[in-house]
Amino acid sequence: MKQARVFLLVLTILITSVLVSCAPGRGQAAGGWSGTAFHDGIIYSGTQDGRIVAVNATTRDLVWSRPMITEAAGGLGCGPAVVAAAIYTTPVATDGLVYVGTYTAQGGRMYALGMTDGEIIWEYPRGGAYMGAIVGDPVISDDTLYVGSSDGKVHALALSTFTRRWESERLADKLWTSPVVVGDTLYVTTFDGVIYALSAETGATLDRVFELEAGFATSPVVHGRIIYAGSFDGHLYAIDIDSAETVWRFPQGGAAGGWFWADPLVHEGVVYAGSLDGRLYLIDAETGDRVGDFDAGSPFVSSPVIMDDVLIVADQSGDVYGFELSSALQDRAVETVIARLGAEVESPFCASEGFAYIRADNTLYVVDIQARRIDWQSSLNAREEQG
Amino acid sequence: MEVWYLIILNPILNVLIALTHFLGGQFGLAIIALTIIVRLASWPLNKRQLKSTKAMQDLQPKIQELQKKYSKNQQKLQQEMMKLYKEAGVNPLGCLWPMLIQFPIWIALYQSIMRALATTPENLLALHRHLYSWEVVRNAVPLGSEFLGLELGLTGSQNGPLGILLAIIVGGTMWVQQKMTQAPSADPRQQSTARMMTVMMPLMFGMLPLMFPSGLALFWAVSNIIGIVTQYFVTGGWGYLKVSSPFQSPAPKGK
Repeated sequence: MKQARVFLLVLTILITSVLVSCAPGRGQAAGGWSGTAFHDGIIYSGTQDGRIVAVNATTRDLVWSRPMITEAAGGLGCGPAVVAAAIYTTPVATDGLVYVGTYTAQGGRMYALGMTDGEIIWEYPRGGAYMGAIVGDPVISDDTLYVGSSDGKVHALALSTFTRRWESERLADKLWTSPVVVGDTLYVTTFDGVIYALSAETGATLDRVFELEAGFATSPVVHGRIIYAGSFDGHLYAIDIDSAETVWRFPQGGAAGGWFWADPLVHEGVVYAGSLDGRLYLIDAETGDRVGDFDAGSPFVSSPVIMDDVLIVADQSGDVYGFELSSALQDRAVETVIARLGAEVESPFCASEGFAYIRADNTLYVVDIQARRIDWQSSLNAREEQG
Repeated sequence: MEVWYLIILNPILNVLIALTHFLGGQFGLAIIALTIIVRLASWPLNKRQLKSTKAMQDLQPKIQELQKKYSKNQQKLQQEMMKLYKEAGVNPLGCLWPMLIQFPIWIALYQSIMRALATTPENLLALHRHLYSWEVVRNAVPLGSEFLGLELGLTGSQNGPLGILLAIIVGGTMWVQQKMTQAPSADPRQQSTARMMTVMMPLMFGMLPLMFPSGLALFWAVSNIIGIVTQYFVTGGWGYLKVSSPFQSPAPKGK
């Protein structure tokens, strides 16, 4: 009897340990890392509790807040439950509408919200259906919205009706990157290490432009006829679209100390690429030679932006840096720190009219670039907003 | 916690990812291979556990006799049983300690599978902190999660009939493994506890795959099957499974 008790006790401890260490809720929950978009004085962003918010950049008031709720299957013996969707996409605000994609365990949907009131104007798919969960930002070109999804396909929607124009063949396990439109062709990078060229008109696969042994971590960035994309192998690649050849690979020798996770920025012949090894690299866009680098000591998860000849980057620890584009970057760490947010920056951010709008740990920070300080900040937590 | 990552979790995670690369990007095969490797590595402990179980099984007739004899005197029963264990050189908890020692490795294996699956974008981003700079590891991530029609990152219920089948296999193999080691007892209370365990554990482990990623369920199934096979060969047969097997022909009467 005593032995059975001991056994039961041990068993209970073991099972509890397994459940605690592996429960889906621990480390498996999707929170979302929606970035910020600025349009006509309003800042749009997704929150970590699944809402899209519009904040007036001048008055700092919350203009509207739209919960992106979805019906989830309940647990065993439970009915369906309404849960908030996670939002990874940065809202795209244009022509009176705000476009955003959602991510849930069941799948995802694309929404078009009214720019003035946040009302849901369109959703796709309709009738309670889902497409694959959406992580990569949607891209709008002419009258079509293109978005990759976790079903491994690119979906093209007609903006006028928000109905399906086409969906591509399954290109990968999942597509968490954004496509890029160049003329009548769509370029897509995949975790399988393939760059596809699709017809923007029909979605037909035109070509496997390039194949790499490792997967691509970033979306493709096209400049001229060159595609720049970062990889999980610790290299950044420049690929000639026409010849499908590697123009260069950076670093040329061994890999960087981390993935090139954030989309690179190409500006006036220089590629600015942050890496998870905590370095921001400046690379000659033509030759792939290192022009300079800056060691922040914390991973670069979000992409750099340029405003008024100032390069703005934020590392994961929440330090925001600004560099004069003419500077060589080295040894400028102290004097280039603009603000220390003290919160993790994992979302893309935008900059406009002298300010950078950064969402970090569910707080919106507005950073004055010239004054080198946080101008104001606003919590995006629902409760605090109501308070 | 850092020590846990440094010494146990990260090595297992990186080996799992490297195996995926060497096995043609098949994460499912890597789970199976690593489960076998861990089983082989822990074989000395496992063998000790099984031998201890076998020794306990061999003592069961004598224990049952004692249980009948001292059914109304628990204290005396305990004394006599301890005496019996001592004479036979068997530690009744001998089968538990090797299991406890192995448990951190199994926990790390569970966690490695969950982390390697990187089912959410946050998980994928967090994965980089645990990876070695091995080229095979860099080239393997993110892992493809399709295996034999199953999406290993989805739960059993999301995987439909195949996920449910896997859950049944997990529960079924768990039941077989338990039955092989669960000795019948003359004490009705002990027998009742044992019967409850034999039903509850497989039922619980049969339900978990419906709620957890199928990659974990695959690991549980493979682990159970290896457990059954090794137990069969080390203890020399099906143990107590055949005693109560519904497929077994009834014993001849009148003797």
